[in-house]
Amino acid sequence: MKNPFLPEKIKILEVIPETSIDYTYVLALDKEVKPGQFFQLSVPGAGEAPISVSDFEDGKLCVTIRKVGRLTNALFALGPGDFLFARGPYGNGFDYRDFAGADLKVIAGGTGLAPVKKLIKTFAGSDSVSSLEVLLGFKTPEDILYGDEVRAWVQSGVATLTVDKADDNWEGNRGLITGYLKNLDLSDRARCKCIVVGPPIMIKFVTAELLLLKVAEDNIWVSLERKMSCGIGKCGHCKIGDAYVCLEGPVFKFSEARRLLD
Amino acid sequence: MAVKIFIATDQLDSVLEKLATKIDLWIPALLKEDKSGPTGFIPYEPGKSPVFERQTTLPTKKLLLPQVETLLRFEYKKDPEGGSTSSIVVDDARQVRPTLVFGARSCDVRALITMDRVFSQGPYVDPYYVERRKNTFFATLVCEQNDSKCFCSSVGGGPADMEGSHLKIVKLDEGYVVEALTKEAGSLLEGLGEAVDKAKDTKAGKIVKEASKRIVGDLDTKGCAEAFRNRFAQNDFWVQMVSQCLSCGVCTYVCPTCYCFTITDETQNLKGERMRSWDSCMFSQYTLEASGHNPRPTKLERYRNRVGHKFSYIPEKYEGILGCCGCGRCIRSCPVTIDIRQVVGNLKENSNEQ
Repeated sequence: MKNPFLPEKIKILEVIPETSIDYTYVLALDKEVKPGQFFQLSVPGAGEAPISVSDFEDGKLCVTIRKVGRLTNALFALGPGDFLFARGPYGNGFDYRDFAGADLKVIAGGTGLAPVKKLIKTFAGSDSVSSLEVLLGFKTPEDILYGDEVRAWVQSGVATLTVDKADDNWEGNRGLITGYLKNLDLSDRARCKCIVVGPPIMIKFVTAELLLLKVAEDNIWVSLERKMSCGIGKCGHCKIGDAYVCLEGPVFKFSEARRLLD
Repeated sequence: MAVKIFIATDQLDSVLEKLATKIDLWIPALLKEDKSGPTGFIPYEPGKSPVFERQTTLPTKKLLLPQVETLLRFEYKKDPEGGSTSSIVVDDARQVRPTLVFGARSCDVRALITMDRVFSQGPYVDPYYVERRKNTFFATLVCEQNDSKCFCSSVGGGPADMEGSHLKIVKLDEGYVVEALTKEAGSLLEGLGEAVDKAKDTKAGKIVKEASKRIVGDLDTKGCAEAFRNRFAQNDFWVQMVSQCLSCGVCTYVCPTCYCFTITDETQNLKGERMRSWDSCMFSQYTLEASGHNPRPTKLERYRNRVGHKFSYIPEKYEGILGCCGCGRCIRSCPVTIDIRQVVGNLKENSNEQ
């Protein structure tokens, strides 16, 4: 019987610092993956944790990791040529077909950008969506992830970037992401689809605002974050009501997500 | 015809001793010398008397889901490919031996409906559980010792419910009638005990019939899934239900249907093991994320989730079958006398008035 708890050994190809506490690891991992899915990454001895896939291409897969715990501390001690362990991909991820022909709005806060980065890249140069608008919010300019790509999206007019707080050197937008929702072009409500990812508090206020702006519940997708141990629908940690976030999520239509009792 | 034997009371130990040569045998027994102290299932040893007079303090859960078990072993070794690397090997010690639980109760076995759904079904199956499950057999007592905390009949079971059991044990004054319910179980009884004479068979039949008619518990669980949804946002109700809770988690540890676990790595020098151990949704760290966010920060949300899980989420998802087996252990073990029957019963009372 196949043992789903058994991880594979994966080589680290490159480590890219994004901020002082967020690093992107480029891994030699060639698997069929969808944006929004995650892997259970581990360093034996330090433990396992669910980590979103931020990008993938040509047999390489990227994950962006924030140094916040025992495992991520151990990960930060590793560099190119070292190995870590992974099992997955897990979760449903985003289905590109859901957004075909849509006026797609991606609203991402902080590290919430990681699980939608590949999706934004894919749709930015593609005519499979009718239009794409990205709204990005970070705490400070120092917290901005994927700096080069984000600047390119902003310059090409695909993305609006705002930071909650900044010193006088910052020339860009300031203020919470919710303040910029009204700038989105929502003229065709029937064609408008929104993806919201970020910390729980951000998801709560952004979805509430979108509903006020008359975006239908069925046209909003969220990606939920939960503590997980197994990733395969057994351990119970990520369960909200009757749904395992690791199996049925982490991507939910808002109309489904709001039905889940917590 | 089904294989059926009689074991005289004074022969029980010698029969169990013989049985233990055929299969790993576990019995309900005292966990401490104290005769009124806690009981649980232990490997049979000659001279150890089974305790059949009362339900065990601890359920049979650990036989299928050990409180702690090794999932993987790993060892750091210098890797020829270079780097500060490790090799990791699977734990092949996953050798499961056929095991018989002699003296389970119908509530213990009914709990396996919930366990099986979690571990044996879905897109991934749990090989550790599944192999144990296939190799574990249950000889179940027709239960006559229900107490005031039992409510198996309220949740779809009953004191003589043999669904999922492999052998049926009926206790008479002079001994035990043991009947095989499956072919495989029949071969376990070969050469053991004595034939069942007509008088004993009739007596055993009568006990089973009476137990089948007995209604244990008077909780009305009809409509509880919907009632829970209606009560969900009524914080006053939940504050009242849970105010004395200590978040000790004992209700989940003694619960035969609670299956949550956590995975941790334990290391010593360069070697280590990836372990799984029971966890409890009653602990605040259960849902605490690395970011510091906790979706169930207080005992109100946690207890509400426990009740909802067993009496609303599971039955709504699985054709009405509840995630509770009615054994009453959470009620007996709770240090502050929280009674889940009272909470579930209250879900429906005046739910619109509050």
